[in-house]
Amino acid sequence: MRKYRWFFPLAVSILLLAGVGFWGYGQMVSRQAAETALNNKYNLAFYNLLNNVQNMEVILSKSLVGQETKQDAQLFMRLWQESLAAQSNLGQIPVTEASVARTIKYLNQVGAYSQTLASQTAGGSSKSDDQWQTLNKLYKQAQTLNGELRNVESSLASGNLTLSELRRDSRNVLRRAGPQLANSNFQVIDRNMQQYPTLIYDGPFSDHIVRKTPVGLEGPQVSSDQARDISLKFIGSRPNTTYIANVAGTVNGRIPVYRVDITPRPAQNGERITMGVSSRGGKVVWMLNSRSPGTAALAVREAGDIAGRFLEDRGFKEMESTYYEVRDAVAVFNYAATQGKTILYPDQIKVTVSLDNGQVVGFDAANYWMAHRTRTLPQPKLTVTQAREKLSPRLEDVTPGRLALIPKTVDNEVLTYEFQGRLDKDVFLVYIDAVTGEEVKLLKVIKTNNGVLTM
Amino acid sequence: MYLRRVIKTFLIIGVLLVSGMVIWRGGEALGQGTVLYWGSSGSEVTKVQALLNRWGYYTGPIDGYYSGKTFSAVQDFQRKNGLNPDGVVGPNTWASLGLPAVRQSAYGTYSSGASRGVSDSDSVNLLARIIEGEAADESYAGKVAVGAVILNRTQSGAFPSSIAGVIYQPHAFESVSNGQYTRPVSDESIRAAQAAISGFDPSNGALFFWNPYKPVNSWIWSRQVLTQIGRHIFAR
Repeated sequence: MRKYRWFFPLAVSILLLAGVGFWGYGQMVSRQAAETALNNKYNLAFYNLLNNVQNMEVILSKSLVGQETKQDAQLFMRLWQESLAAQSNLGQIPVTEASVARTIKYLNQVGAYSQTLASQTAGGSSKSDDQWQTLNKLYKQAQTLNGELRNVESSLASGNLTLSELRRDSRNVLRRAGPQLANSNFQVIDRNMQQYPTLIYDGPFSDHIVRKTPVGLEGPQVSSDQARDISLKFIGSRPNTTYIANVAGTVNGRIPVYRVDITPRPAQNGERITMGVSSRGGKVVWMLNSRSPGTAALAVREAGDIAGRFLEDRGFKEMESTYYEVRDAVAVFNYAATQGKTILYPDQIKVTVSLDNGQVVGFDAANYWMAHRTRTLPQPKLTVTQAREKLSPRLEDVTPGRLALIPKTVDNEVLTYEFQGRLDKDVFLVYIDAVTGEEVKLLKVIKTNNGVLTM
Repeated sequence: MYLRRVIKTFLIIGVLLVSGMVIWRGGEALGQGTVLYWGSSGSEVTKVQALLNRWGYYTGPIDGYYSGKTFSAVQDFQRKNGLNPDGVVGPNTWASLGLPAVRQSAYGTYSSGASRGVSDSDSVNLLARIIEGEAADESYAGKVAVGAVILNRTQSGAFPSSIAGVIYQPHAFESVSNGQYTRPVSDESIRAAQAAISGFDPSNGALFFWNPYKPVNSWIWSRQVLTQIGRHIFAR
């Protein structure tokens, strides 16, 4: 009996320890889950705030160039919305009120001011010169704020900062921005804005447009064997390499395609090509190459020539290069179809060229096949000179202008005159309806070290 | 005698409890891809195998399974590079392989490059993270398709209209809910995010994707299935 006396305290201790351990572990897990959920909420608010301020900056800069009061009214309505949304998002980020008081004040100012201007311009009277100056100031402030937010985003993205930590850190970051935001004498902001055209320029015209049927695709259904042959022909030949193609499956949806997987023999560093070949008409809709590009050795101009030749060899005549962008060691070239002298923005093709050896590693013609057809274009009622007079007198270096067909909504295309002009360092594209003379669209061109419009 | 035995028992229990927890958490730790050892698998292993193969240490198949051949190749590599030849790919071995530097610079380009003004680097960062979280082991096309689904959602009336809104929608993505998406992003995921943002959409307009080998809500099968890429089914 004496032998077992140690057993009871031991058993009780084990049970206790296990119980405490189990409870503690449960607590840890639920605390971690709660923290992740909270951090996700903070992230959501932050990224939305960034988005709002970014939109505010773009709208403000557009308002400096807009001439039509109807357009202005719309811009100011949107500005009002964005500033309201920005305020509510800022309110959800864990920073002390004192540290962001100036930012909140700025957002409030923009909101109130845009509200005033919205009702003024909706009433038909255009903005005055003083008002233009104020907008210009607000625009510069938006740039500063945007820059500071972007610094916070870099720390977030690189994992140096989580937003629950931001409680401490942003106090400094936003406070630093504070004096500049409140300062009425704005220092000339000399910055090379790192911006990408996709977001603002390309976005409204082409990306992810939901149309019902592809009008560009005609012809009979093709079999999977034919699709394989088409894909191999599209790739072309390369010395000492044979390509082996396999139909991996079909993809339903907007443009039904066969998905073809292509691998080179002998295998090259991770190269695997995937292609979508439309089952109707047997056209290549897109192509993706998984190869990771090496060090850039080609000039962008040479790559552009390659992209142009690539399209021509594959039967895409009457295409015009509209712009390009460089990301790491690949260049993406955008082409739009032309009809006579009119450029058709809805019919776009993107060609990605790897800058290490000039191989075409990406091709996307989904928009082209969705929209391309021979159109009956209306007769312009305005001459170029008449359209030019509609532009803001503040725009400098305005291009001669040309006819361009742009999508207004998915199924509504408008024939316009396209002008490019400059205000300070910002470049804008203005589209004047060739029939009614209305300003239909105002786009800001985002220039970077890497990408510019090539028109 | 009696006291010593009690202490010993306590020690053993303690060790068991702690190691039990470590093993328990191990499943997640493996996903971070920082330490690889015999029995590991996945894209990180493939990376190591490909590198060792290129440098002549490894002759076996590049299949993503850390087995005997990979083990001895790693040992070989460690011996030649003055590391402790334990056959485990830890931080030091990763550094000698030159991979952490590569990954960080690939990421850094987009976080530090855009210092001011409007850009889409925040969208690329967010998309790349979710692609890494949801489709790290998928093919390039499979990665681009996942990115495209998120962009398609922003265009759909049934989802939030910003990328952040879609990604952080509660319970929308498992890797976001459990915090896995914050792990380091591979170069391929960044390229896939960029391709998706430039408009590539191998999913052909899908709004949903899921892994049929994992338990999923049965209503999801009522959606119109568009295609399957790798282990993901895409539907709208």
